[in-house]
Amino acid sequence: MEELYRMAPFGLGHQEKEEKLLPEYKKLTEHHYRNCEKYKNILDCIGWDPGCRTLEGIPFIPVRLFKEYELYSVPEEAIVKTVASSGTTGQVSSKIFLDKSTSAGQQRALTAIVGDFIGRSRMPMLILDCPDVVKNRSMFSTRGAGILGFSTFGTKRAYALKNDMALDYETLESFLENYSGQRFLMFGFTFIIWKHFLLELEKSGKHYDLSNGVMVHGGGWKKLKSEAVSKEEFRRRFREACGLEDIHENYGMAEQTGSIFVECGCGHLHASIYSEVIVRDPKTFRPCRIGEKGILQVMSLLPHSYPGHSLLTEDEGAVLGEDDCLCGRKGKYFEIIGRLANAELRGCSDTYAAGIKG
Amino acid sequence: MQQELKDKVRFLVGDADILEQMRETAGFEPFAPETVEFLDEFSKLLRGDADAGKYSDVQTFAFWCRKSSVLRMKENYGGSLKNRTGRGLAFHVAPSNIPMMFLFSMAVALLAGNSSIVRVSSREFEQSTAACRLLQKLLGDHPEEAGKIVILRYPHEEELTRYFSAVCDSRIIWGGDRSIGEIRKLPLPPHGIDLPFYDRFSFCVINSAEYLKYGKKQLLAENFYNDTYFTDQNACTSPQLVVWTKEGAAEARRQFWEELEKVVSRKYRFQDIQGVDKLAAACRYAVCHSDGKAFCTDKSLCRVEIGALHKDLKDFRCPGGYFYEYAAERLDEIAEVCTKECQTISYFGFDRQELLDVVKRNRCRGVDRIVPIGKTMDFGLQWDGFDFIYSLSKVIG
Repeated sequence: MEELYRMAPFGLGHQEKEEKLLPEYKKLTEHHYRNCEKYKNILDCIGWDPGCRTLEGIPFIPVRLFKEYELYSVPEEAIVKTVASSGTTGQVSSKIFLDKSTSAGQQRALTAIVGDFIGRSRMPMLILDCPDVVKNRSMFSTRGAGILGFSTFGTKRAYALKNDMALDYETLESFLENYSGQRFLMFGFTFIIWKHFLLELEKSGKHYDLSNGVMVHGGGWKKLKSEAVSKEEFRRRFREACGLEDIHENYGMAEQTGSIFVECGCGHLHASIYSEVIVRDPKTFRPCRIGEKGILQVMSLLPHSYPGHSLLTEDEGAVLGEDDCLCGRKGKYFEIIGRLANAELRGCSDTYAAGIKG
Repeated sequence: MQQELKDKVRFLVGDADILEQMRETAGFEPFAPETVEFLDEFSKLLRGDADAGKYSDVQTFAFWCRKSSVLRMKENYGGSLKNRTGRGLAFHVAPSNIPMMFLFSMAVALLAGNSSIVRVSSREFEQSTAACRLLQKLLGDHPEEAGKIVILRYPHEEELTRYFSAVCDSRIIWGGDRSIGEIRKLPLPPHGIDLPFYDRFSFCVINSAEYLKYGKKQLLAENFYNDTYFTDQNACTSPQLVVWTKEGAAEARRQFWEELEKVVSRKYRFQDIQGVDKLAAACRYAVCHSDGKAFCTDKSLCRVEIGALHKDLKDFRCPGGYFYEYAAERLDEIAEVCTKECQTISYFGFDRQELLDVVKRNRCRGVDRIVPIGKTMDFGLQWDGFDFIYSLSKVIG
């Protein structure tokens, strides 16, 4: 792993990545198998081939299991932090158990990955959320953890929203007054940015120049989709409202914090050397071909304290290519299409003529 | 009823005036000739209607409630109904997983001599809508019967359920354990009774040696499909587990699933999330029991071979073609899963009596039905251990 942290996060092509990382993923699988009894039971039931020759052979478990069970692979006393994923209101959230090295690895990987997109030097940071989300421990969730994780990229930190989620014009204006002449960072969650920042800016009728900003956002399009906002629309509206062009979506989850997937200038999400993405056919779970849509499996080398290194999500997407993105980054690049719909509850509504009982 | 509550009710059959009059309703004679005639006419209407008649479950209901079928059911009661009369007003909370269940529920209450308020689920099914339309039309020609039936829909509103509970003589609740618990918090009148139809578990037993000899394996697969995939395995009657007798089990199993797979690939519409759901179910089982082995190449048919029968198996169920299977040394082993929650045992290659003996010999707490594969969905006047006619009528001693 140490070697990995010294490498360029998008420097490995397919062959090299497979050769270097397959043994790591196998080791990780075996580690969890030996140290997490529940994980062992799962693999014994669903099966896996320790002799597999590709990353696709590494077993995966549904990400939702972290909502139902406490899964960890280190002694309890080694756990230094438990993170709960926010989950939409009314939903059960995941519980992720971190030991020191996993937690440190998450930060190192995050720094390397994000640095590759926004540069390595720290810059003033405008957090597009409210201060309470970090301060209030009971709210400490993916949102809080995400902001704290990203805060290392910022020097002067300011919160653009008040605790009642109203736009804090005073803070915004003084932030821009001080820093709009230089590059600055903005970070937040997609839906919150849309609803509480952009829509408010548009309503205010004032013009703020954010053209020197770089924005990293994530957290899913599900809520925005229900408001029929596309990715393109999101970008266009920001460009028109405040001249902001440099926008990077990120795709990640509490279960794989750190090894996030970030969108490049071509609009593609990229897998780094710390992660991998495999798209699987919903019906057979066989890997899909490039361009074919299916269910996303995400892999990460970081989870050591809990068996979250290979997870089947409930998101739909497609790999768009590998090693040949115009942005120059190696590895797979992909797109998210959306979330799989819950199984509809179907009654006996088929219309075929069943045997009729007399 | 207060106006603001009334405004929340949508009537599919009947109206607010009928509802109001029902409070003072009296029961009538079970299998009353006019009831039997009325259901027979309803049956004809359903079968002859283009919208409703194309649904096999509508057809099933229509055949069940036609005159000859009803009279046959009546015969089983012999002279035992002489001094009986319906309890009065039945309030039904119909299930959301089986579209036609609300009509079966209403019909048995009518046959037992009761008027009915039927609350249907908020999920609209085309065949239910069509059936209600026909029923409403038919009631127009039968003013006597019109006073006995109200079918309605309302959003989650405890006050309405409380009202209907307070005025009824019997309450028939189809639903999950939780919703039954919620509804039962609302009081019935002192003389009122509850018939709860709660979450159940069902399984299937196959005699492997007999199966291997059987010539109509394809037909059996079709029947099993109707017991399971046809309702997406959501019906309480759908087997979640297949128990094989040990001798010849390996080969019987192979052939059985192969035959089923053919039917599934021809008829079943797979939903993309179902593979994830099934994998999660297998993982959930594995976390609690270390004796499972999943086989799930094509996610439209997943099975988990298990090394022992556990009482809590029903906690790991998953709809849409997900089965546990177990090879039993002795038939008596099934007693372990004949818990209070166990509803239907479907079977192939046994005498019904053999299975009944197992249940009796082991003094099992559960098991309400034992039927051949393909018959799990056949509705009858005995259900979940209740006899509708006796339960919904009172006897004058």
